[in-house]
Amino acid sequence: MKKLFLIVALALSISVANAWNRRADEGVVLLAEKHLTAEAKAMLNKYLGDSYLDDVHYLYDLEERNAASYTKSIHYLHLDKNLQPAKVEGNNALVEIESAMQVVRNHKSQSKEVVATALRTVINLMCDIHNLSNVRIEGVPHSSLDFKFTWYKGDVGKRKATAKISWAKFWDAYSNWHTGFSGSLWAEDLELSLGSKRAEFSKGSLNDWASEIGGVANGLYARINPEYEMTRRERNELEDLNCEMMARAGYRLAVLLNSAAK
Amino acid sequence: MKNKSLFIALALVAILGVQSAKAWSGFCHAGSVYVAEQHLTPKAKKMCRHYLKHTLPYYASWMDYWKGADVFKSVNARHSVMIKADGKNIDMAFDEYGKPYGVTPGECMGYLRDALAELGEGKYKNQPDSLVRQRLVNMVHYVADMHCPSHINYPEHLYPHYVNNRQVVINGKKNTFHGFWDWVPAYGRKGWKLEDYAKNVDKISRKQAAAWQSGTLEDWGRDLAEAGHLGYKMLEGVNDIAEMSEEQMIAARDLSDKMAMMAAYRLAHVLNTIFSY
Repeated sequence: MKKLFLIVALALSISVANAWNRRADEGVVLLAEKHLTAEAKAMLNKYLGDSYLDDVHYLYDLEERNAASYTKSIHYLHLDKNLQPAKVEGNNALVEIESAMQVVRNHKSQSKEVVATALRTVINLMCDIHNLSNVRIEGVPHSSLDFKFTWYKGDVGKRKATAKISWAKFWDAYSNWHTGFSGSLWAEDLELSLGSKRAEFSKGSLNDWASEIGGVANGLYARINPEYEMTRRERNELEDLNCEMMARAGYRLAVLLNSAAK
Repeated sequence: MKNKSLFIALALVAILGVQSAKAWSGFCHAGSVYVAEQHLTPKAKKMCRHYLKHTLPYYASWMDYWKGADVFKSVNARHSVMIKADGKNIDMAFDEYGKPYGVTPGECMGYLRDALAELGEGKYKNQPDSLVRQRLVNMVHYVADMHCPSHINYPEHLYPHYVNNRQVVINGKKNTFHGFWDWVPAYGRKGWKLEDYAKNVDKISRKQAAAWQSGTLEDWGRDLAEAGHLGYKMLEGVNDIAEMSEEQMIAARDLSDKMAMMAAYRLAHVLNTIFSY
């Protein structure tokens, strides 16, 4: 019975994909939009119309409606021990992005609905692979689990309050720190704080970006594990990294869309 | 002896409880600061962004997140103001512990006075960027905090019934008087963005804004003293918000909105004044 419970718990933790909140993801897309070429903007508009922000969580929305349970496993970035994209059985985010990008690159010979689905997939998954809770690395067992660790939650009067938080919720929490931020305010803020790094973030290919994200996550996994107790200072300082990951996602999404629209 | 220890422990809990102050809600802080940013002069907005490298609302609750962290001990103390024994005027000489200002840095009005003295009349140009930045970050939070009804403190011996940590049940859960003022700004506003808040709440006339912005810090303090009394009066005898009528809830939210707008226009005024040089 105990064993069965553990298997079920493990299965549940594996199947929970993670995301920033919808407005933060909208911010990523609007940041990308600021750097789209006229052709890319026209392409986006042609296939997704004006309401493309409604679809930033396209795959999650499908899952919620139970319309496509197969998408549950595709939000993760799988890397091997050398932080190179791993050849895993079934789908993963990188394979899905590449395959969707093939459709987008050939958009003129595809049906409108197929291109729209591909664009929505690219948008959703470019956000997901930059959310560090979705990075799974071979040889780092806890990277494949939504493990919990102790973090500083806040003060209760004079008492320091710590609590257990899952790796996924930890990264999601940052997008909730700025209550009421709209997508456009996120985009404005990210551009203001990290616009000077756009060229640096935009360099390289999808595989390069995956390895780089893996390197960042690997550094964190080396110390943050189920036994870890995170201080308030570290919790706060990691917010800058989270913003950097959002900016990377936005600038790179623009690179992909601009190249496909050429 | 045992009873004496218990008494001391309870007294300490009571004292700390009365003085427990955390924050206006993140939503109200960000909303107020967002409105302030809309009323900055182009130069002030440019200068704020030069120093902060972020929008103003990004830093709305920064001090609460960093409160207590080892590197920023200066932001640890009270995010509040103290009213004099007359119940009408701000006390800028003493903090809410009754200690001379500066012993527990964090008293909002004294901090604002010092920051203005340090940055005003063009002095910011001679200060290191890091100092200007930190002053701005703190002011962004403090100006909102000092306008929050639960951050306005009165001498305990004269106002023993003003218990900031008094239990008030909200939606069936244990909360406090303080928590009520954190919670009420978002009452009936689920899913609101800051833009929605500004559009619906920032309906302040030029005349009203000018009146709020005029005068000295002491004059501003009198508005705070008045709002603090009103805040306590509104929840007098209320142990569970289920006892409150819709009209009472809206009246409380209106007070919160008014104070958030007062804070917004004053913050804009402070920043516009500093960067007018």
